[in-house]
Amino acid sequence: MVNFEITAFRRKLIQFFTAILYNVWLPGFVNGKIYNGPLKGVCVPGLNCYSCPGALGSCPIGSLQDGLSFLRFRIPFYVIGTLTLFGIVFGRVVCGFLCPFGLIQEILYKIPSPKIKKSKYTRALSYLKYVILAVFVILLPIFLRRMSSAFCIYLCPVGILEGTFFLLPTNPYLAELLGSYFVIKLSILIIVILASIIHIRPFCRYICPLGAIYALFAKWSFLGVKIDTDKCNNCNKCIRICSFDIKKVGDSECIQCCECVKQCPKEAISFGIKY
Amino acid sequence: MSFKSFKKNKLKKIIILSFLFISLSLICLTSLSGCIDSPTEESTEVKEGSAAPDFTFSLLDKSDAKLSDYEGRIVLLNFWGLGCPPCIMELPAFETLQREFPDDLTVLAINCQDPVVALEYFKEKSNPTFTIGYVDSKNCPYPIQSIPYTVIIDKEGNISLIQIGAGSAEVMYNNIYKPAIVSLLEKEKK
Repeated sequence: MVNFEITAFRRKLIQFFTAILYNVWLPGFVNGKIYNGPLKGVCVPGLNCYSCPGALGSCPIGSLQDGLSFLRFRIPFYVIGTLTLFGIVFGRVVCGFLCPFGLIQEILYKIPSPKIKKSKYTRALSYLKYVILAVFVILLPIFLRRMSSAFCIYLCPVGILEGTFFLLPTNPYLAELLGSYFVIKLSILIIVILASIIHIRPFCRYICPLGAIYALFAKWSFLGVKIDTDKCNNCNKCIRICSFDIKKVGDSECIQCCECVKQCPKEAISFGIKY
Repeated sequence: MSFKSFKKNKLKKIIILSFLFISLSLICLTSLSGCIDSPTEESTEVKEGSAAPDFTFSLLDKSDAKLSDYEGRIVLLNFWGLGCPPCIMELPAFETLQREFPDDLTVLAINCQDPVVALEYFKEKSNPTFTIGYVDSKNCPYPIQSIPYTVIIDKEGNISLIQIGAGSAEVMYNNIYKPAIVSLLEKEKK
């Protein structure tokens, strides 16, 4: 069992440099053209928009939808395999460490304001992301080929932030094309930004279909937080102080932020290779 | 400051510096390769009034064709994708136009993002009169980052109209495509 000492600072550092690494193609920002080279065939683990002019890789959710929209011709082994690999190795460690949009929400949460804590309502709402995954990412692309990227087209606020905002200054003609889809997604973005100030990571908990996929792997992932049952005395302090709707540390709602690691009075929680 | 916390601070600094170094190197490398790589986009500028850049694309019978093969006819060159709702929405306008001007106009609907087998299935199901082709976006001199992208080219090979994006087939047909084609035909008569 290998453990890693993850402080809040180290996790922020990894998140920050991950965000840079995913979007490091500076010529894209300058020219306003999306990078289209060989690396674009690789999916990054987090939800990072393909259309960000700096993005070196592809969004796994965008790729999954595109793959599923051609399901009658071929099975998208590459995307499914990549997501399975990320899920099994990292689970929701991707959410806690390797997702730029998660980082943005966490930074927004640091703005001083009254905060809304978790409750049975937030727990119930956390199932919404599975519905979004099933309907917009899986069913609509398979059965309505015209909506091959239904999540990207109708819902994804990350695309507005990373794609539209950075492409518009250098591609002013795009402004004429913005219609109702843009208005809907911009509204979702504004709501998510405002909600992130008063409630921690609302997009990740209630909307993100990628988080929903990784949540399915969370219990079995290679990396993550784990409890040493010999040391644990079931005081449940970890569940009480956790900002997210977990029933147990490291479950499908655990974002792997490692806050509980330092709070456990018995030092029974650690982050590392679970097997 | 104790020795332990001094070591911790030093370790922190080393980690931060190495990350900074790696990030900066990556940034420099990618920026440099961006300068050295030949541009994947147009080398001649695509604009109304100038000559339409020639390029090679593939037809569904696996043969290749060039845009210049169609010189002498008005060409409506459209770039589209199966997963692009506005692209699909305006296709009936192309069907109408191709049937309305069979002798003067060639509508080329060039797909730039979907597998060929999906295009063959599409052709089988919808049986269009217009020509479907496909091209790799890397080999295309037109700025097809945003689709639908439509160019109307006159019989001499010059770009008469560029249209980015689409509304309904009716709106596109009545307000944009038909007027442009009719005005080209009328100029010819004079």
